[in-house]
Amino acid sequence: MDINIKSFLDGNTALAPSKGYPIHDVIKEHLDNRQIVYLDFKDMELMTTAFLNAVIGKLYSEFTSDYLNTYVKIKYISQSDAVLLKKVIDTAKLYFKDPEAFDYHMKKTFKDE
Amino acid sequence: MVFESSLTISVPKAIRCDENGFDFFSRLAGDTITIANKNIIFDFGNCNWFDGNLCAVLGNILDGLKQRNNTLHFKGITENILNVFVRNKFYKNFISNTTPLLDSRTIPYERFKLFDEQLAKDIIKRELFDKPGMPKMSDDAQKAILLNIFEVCVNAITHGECEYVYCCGQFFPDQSSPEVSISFVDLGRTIKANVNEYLKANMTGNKTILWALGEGNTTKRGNEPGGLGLKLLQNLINYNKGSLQIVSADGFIELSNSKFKERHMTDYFPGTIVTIKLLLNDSNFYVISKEVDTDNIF
Repeated sequence: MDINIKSFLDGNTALAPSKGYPIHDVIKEHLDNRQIVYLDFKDMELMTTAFLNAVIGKLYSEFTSDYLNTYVKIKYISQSDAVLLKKVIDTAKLYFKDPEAFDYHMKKTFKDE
Repeated sequence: MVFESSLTISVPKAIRCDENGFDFFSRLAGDTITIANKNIIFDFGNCNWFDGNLCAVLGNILDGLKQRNNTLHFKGITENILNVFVRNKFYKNFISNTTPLLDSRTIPYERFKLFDEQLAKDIIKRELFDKPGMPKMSDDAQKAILLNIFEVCVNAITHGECEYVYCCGQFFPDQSSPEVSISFVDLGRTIKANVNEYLKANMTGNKTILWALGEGNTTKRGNEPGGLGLKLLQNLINYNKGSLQIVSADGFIELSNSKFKERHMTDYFPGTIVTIKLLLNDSNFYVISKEVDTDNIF
């Protein structure tokens, strides 16, 4: 199943997380049915980490890394957006590996200073 | 409509992006937050300098005053300051509905709802990069700057719980090191309130801003990670050798030369001001440092 990011938007720009939730929901629906999703970033010019977190970061609360590598394929993403996506994924993995430990670490880091 | 009385506000001698300037806005916002149905006179008689980008802060406060049915008056504005206000459209918005002078040295005063994301991006892109006589930045550098600007705006709307983000900027193309300063403002929940509530802590404004600048730190809750936007902004500032100022509540943090400096605010700003200063003399400063293999990205 091809999911074209731009087709969910009014243009080539995606800033707010609210624009990402419907895309996330469609991806999740297909993944729940073990269908491979081709996530197509063609013609996207600007995406924030907030948007990417809503689309993809959230998936780590629902699926494992292995499952996502098997069932989600990335298409036509620019190199700069790929770097951004990787940052979002790395943060999400850390966050969902153990959200309580992540929270505890983040809070402790500063409260102890 | 009956106006009960008048209030005169004297604008200090110089309004710059420093402690004195931000303390003035803090007092102004705090002292006028409940004022309604008055004639308010802004007396610029003593003021001989006003950083153009700070029109975003003044405009945000004045919009609130107008919404509370106050009538605004301005007097004693010097020619230099008037020129700044006319060129960046602040004059058109608050003083008189005149056609602004075409000028390539400003990013006009705007407020964004981010409802129309495409329009917001197109406006900022045009105002930042399509100015005659400005250095042409590489596509990657342009994209990195736009991305970071909107990360700040999205952060403000998400965490500040405000309706609009206000923005204004000023180019300085004739300096030995040409630069642009852009301010983004929201009058909403402060970083201090959000972070202290999230951490169940009682940290100073400065400490809460420093926490928010940490990678992965976010006050968002639930099954959605975050906390990357402000970290990316720091990276951009460090690559560019520019500077970043964040003012929120009683906090004022400045980042330059890759170092944070804690500044001291006397007053309390009831929202957040982010000011980005970017150098324009290195138009290729942003280089993507690594290739990412998307085949196994998850």
